[in-house]
Amino acid sequence: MSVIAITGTMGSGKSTIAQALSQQFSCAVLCEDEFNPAFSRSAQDVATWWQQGGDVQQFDFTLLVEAVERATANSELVLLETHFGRQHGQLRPLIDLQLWLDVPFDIAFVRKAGQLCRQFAAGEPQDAVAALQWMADFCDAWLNVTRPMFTWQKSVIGGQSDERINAEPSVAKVLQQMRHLLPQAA
Amino acid sequence: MDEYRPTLRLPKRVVLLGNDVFAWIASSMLLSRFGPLGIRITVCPGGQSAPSRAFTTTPAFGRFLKNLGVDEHDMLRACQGTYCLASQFSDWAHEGRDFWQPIGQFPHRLLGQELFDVWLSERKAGRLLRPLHSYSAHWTASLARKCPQAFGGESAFQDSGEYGYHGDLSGLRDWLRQLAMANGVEAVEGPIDRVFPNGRGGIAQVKLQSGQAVPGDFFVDLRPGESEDTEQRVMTVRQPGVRQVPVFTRCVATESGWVTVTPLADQTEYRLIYPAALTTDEAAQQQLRHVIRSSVASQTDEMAQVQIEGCGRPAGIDWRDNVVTVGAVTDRLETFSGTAMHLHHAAIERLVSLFPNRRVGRATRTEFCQRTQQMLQQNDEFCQVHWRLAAQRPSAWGQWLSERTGDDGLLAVYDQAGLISPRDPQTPPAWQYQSLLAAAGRLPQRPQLSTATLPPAETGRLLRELVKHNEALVADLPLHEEMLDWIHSRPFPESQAG
Repeated sequence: MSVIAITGTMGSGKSTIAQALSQQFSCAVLCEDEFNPAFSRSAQDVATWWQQGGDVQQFDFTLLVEAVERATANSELVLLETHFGRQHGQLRPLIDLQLWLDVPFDIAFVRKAGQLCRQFAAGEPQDAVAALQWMADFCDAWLNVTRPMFTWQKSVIGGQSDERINAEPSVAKVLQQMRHLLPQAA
Repeated sequence: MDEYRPTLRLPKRVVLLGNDVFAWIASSMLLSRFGPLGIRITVCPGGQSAPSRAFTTTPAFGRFLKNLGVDEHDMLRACQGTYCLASQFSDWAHEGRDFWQPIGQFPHRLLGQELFDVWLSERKAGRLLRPLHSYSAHWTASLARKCPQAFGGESAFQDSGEYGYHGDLSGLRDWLRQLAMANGVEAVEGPIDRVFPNGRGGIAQVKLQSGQAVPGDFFVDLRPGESEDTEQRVMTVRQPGVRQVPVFTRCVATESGWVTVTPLADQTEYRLIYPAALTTDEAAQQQLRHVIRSSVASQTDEMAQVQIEGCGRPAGIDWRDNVVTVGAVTDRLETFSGTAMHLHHAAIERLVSLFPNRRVGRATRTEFCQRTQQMLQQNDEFCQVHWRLAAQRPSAWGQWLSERTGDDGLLAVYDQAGLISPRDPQTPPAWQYQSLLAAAGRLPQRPQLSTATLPPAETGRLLRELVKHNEALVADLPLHEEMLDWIHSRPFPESQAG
């Protein structure tokens, strides 16, 4: 049983790659966001956390750890989509292989903006207002929060990864780069 | 017969020629051995100070401090010092891949086997994705940014002494100088004007430009070799430090060289080494800027003052009559930080160990030179294995490196069965080769036969337990920056109570 952490900035394609991998492998996929709602609450929450020192350890991942342990008991391979990876003390011992999806910040930003716009187009009016507000906060925070945080993530989380994958090209090409790192059984 | 005919008695006055930290380390080592016998130790600078740069040490330096009976915190305070538990290598084997070399051995054997053999067996069976270095407590502590020292309590790292330091070389030099002189080492100031031979191929005395004569009956020349015929250049820049000080050195391969990133208490030093024939200084500066920009340390394009030096090939070890020349040991380009200081220690220790024996003759001198030279060559072999990994990169630098690395003979047995032949005790042991090669993806063709009977479920369980054990080992240690706050802040005021 192995746990592969897929890390990267917002908009780097973690979810897309995890989904594509799950179609190739018989594996469980877990997403840190589902256990750590701070990042899905508001851009302001993220800014406040970052300005207070950005302490990763303050997030309690006990439920995520339990979920990973359950998943590893039932599956030979678990994919963990995560912002913090080995930087978080609770996750570090669980992660066997950590991959960093490397994309230039402008591409990550545009991908995120595109995703929010699509949500905006498809959502109910009240959701749309919330999504639009999220987008505005995200843009406002770019210089002082988001970009420094991306830089930190790239340096620290990327630096703790076993392999940094160029995630700029198509999904197929990204998977091609990962092939030699993954288990043989497809 | 020569072995039994002494040409050198126990010296009365030892003169060290050199101006940098290595001369002061050697003076303290010689003093601790010769001081009680009433032998005078004199340091004669004889040249300009080398520009200051950051250093990294191996555990040997901690043992040296312990032998001197000094507090490591005093040393760290004097040189912007920080702790070091590992080296991280980025982009060496190919771009995007990182691997780690912990300072200190993987202490674990599992099921009666070496950890490497167990790991390899599991890896080859397709049951393991986790890299070998991730079973090291040093790696765990590096990622958790934990200090190897505990506040008052004990720590596994403290007990074993398996950690090193980073610091500023000129700060360390001044501190060691002060320490040595307080203990009785003499120092004379000023450049050397003339060296007077003793008629047997050695030195009778040196005369300074001030007119002062410094006689001696034994001389140790620690001055680095001339660096006019430069093949490689070194570009150094310091940037403001970061709050969360890494507890490891980082070594990043670039298009045409490598950058060593050394964290000091208040600054971070970036040091690019590049072949002068391949890269202009302007292009090198761009590469250095790129590495700095990609780190958290700097959010600015402003480059602090850049310092460029040349570095030549170090000269050989020599011992003629009463003069030992070991500057070659210190004048080396390191991919593995701390190597030069480690080799310097080993050479001086080897030299000092000869002296209770009063029969130091030609045979002893030849043996010392040969053994020390061999130690340097074996370290170079290890360095070349590292270069060979970088030579895989499709670049002019890769080509340049491949032209300078020897054949793969050393690794032939490793490639077959994971074994590395025994080395000099002062050179990297087998596990360091295994760790380096495995991390870079070069695995032996097959695991040891003795691992074939390992029960997979039990092996997997024990490997997972090992990871948890390492986490528990570092859990209660303070953060590196917390310890640095303690060390580098002013002393706490004395209690007013009572």
